[in-house]
Amino acid sequence: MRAHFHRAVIVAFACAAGSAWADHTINVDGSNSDWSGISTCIPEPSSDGQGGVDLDRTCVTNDNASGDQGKLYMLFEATKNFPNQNLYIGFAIDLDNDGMITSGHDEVYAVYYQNKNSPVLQVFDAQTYTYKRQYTSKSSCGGTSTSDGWSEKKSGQVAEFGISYGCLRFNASGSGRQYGSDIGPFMMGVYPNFDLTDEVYYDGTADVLVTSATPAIYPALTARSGQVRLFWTNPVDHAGTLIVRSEVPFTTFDFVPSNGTAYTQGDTIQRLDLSHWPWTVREFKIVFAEHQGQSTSFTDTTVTDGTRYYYKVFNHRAGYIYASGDTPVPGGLFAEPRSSTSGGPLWCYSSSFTSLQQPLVEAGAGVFTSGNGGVLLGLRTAPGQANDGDELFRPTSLGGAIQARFPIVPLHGRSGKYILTGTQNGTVAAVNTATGVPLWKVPGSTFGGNQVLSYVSAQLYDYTNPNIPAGAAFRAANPGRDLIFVPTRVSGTSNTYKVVALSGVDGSVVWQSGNMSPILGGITVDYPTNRLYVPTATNSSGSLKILSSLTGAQVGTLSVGSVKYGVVKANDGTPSGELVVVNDSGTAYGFNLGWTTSPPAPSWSGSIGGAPVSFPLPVPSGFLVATSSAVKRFAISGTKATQVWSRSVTNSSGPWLHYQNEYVWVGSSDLKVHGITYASGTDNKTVTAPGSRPGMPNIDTTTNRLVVGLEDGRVCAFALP
Amino acid sequence: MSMLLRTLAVAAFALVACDAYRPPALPTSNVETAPPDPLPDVETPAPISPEVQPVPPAPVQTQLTVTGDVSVDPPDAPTLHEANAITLRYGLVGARGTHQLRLELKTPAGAAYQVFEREIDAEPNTEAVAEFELPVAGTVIDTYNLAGVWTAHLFFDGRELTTRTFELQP
Repeated sequence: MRAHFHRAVIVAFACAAGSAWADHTINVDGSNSDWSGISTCIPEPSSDGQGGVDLDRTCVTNDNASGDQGKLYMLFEATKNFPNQNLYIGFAIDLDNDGMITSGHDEVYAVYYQNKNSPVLQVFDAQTYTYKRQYTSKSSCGGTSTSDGWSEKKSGQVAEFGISYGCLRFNASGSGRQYGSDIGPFMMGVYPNFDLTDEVYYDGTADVLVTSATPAIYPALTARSGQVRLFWTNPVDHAGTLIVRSEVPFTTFDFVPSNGTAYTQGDTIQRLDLSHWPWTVREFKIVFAEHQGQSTSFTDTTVTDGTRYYYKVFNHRAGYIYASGDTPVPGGLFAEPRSSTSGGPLWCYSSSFTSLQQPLVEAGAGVFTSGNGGVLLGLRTAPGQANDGDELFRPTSLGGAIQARFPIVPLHGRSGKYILTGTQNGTVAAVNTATGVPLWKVPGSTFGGNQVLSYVSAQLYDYTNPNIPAGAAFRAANPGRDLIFVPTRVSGTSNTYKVVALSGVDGSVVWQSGNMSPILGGITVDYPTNRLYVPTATNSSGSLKILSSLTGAQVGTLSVGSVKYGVVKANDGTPSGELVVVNDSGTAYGFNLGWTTSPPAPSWSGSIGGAPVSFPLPVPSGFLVATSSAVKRFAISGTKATQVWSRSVTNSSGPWLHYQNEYVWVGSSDLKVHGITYASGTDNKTVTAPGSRPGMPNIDTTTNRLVVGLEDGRVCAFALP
Repeated sequence: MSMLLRTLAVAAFALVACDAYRPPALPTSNVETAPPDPLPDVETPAPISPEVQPVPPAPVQTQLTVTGDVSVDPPDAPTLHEANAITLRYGLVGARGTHQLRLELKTPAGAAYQVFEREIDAEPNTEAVAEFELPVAGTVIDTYNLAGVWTAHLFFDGRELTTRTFELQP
């Protein structure tokens, strides 16, 4: 029989050195009768569907009363009789207690039944499975302890195994390590079909099996002058939290908390960094050590402005079993507190992943953005307050990268406002901006989509005009609901897209369009005509699709070439307004939206002198647009779009206009956000991003702030110069 | 090879992660591991020393081998601006059971760009394959011209297994 390992094995911890659990009396007799009062068991939820032995239950206990002396017992119950064939019942022990089952000290122990009843205890290297030794004597394993010994018995569906700790100390001589079953994790199972449940740990002190320590959820931080405030969410299996700080990124050679160890806040731990020559001593500061509690934030005030710090947040469960501190990234979250008096940011928040898209601003109240970490972020705007830049809510996971700007809208019949967005794994959600709680969240599989790259649009019931035919028609077709328009890639394809209309009530599908070329830019909704203008990235004829917003049916096309970025509606002085499009070759077009029978020819056009890097931003009688090397203002007159000014900006982001003070703000790869006068294009103000490339900025006109996301994952707020 | 994508670590390679974590597993049962003679009685007092009576070893699983490549769609994209997506493919031989793969991508500037996570179900002596698609068109890679050498760190059950680099042409 060819066996398969395809299920997670049990990892069990006997976590407390020198533990003192006692009183269990187990007779290794192939019966589970003496396990009835023992709760250290885990069930196997279902069969793995493979042949061999499926386990119903596995239990662990010990009779340990004196640290590493005593006996460890395991019980295995199977779904069918243990066969009279070659069979292993075994486990691996992390003898060196480094949290890994690796070659060297760690070993695999296996009770091997050849055919029927001739068991031997075999020991293998933990990784190479090179045979090391075999014990057939059950009274002595050849270890150093007088309590050496092992026993086994299987009968029908039950197998039991006991091993004296002396066996587990076989390699202890000269290692300077303390071995024993109360130290380190072990894995256990029955072979064939190493068929067990998720990882669990055996707490030798409390004699319980518990699930493994889970990492803290979404650690993040806000850096302000003189302090760094960290946020996290505790998982269910939680006792306390350890936060460690370093002044260089964490690496695999760095400090990892030792299970069973209670660290002291304020202590500094040194480690020799062997990763680079010359070897150096690195210091890790324990800035927060909560042994038992439910804290979800901590402010580190032992920081110096201008210094970069890296933090790792370690959740631990009972017994100081630590989870990985590798979330969100193994190198740790970083913060760089700075004084804002010299032009530095008022605050920078970091969730670690690139966040170059334009943040959205609720003036005087908050900043909303997202990033490649797959979460939506809400940050507090509170000038002069201690919580300025803190989280409004814990990051809301949508499960995939979110790179597009998003609308924040009121939904019919509901209080508050909602973020509408989609992710690169296809999920679409409406999320409350006050709480971060999704009103609904639907996976792409519900509408045959698997990737959303661009702006999600909406046609809002309350904003339709029931006194005009189009508004009345919308309300008749969509009584009491908004429509959310999602450009999504079609599942099973690499470059075929469609538009899906979802109900704003619950995210259910209302209609789906036909397939089309990639939709990478935002859709424009024209309320007075119930039409959607959908740019596609193709040079084929009719690249701009016009759909009915009521049905999704195509009602026309415009041939404008490939358009990667969004199309926008502008006020051109006519009742219907116009559509502004800039294609990937750099030609701008204007189309009047008031057509009835067939889409019109462009009412104006003009070259912007290069490929755009963002959507055109409408301004009175013209638009702003950026190429990779310049920001430009164009005026529309007659049938032409004429350049008013062009300002050189290296690797420009999309521009954003501060209407009140008439400055155009744009990010650059020179690590600055440039303020350019709207009237003349003079570049005479700058905000310096703290060491990373800024994206497209936004302006909070109430607090006179500029907010911008950075390539390194931070979102920063600055006082406008 | 596309002008766009220059895989600095060769396009198809085999990498031995000598120091990486390798999952433990019990010996396989299809190899006879017990001595051929009748085994001692269960109460036989003295241990059988492997030096005296060695037992054939279980199948040796010496290392976890990683292979893979990086590809671009479409293959002839001259720059990142014409690319739809990059696919990083990894094949692992030597793993058994269910394992978590985590791919962390860093931009040419060294910023953590994105993390992908996959679960693989590995069979003995069979290559387990994981593919990670990095969208390019319509993303900030395209918009912000994030050209240069990208780094992909692959983690296996939380431990870094291998690092790969590839270059995107502006």
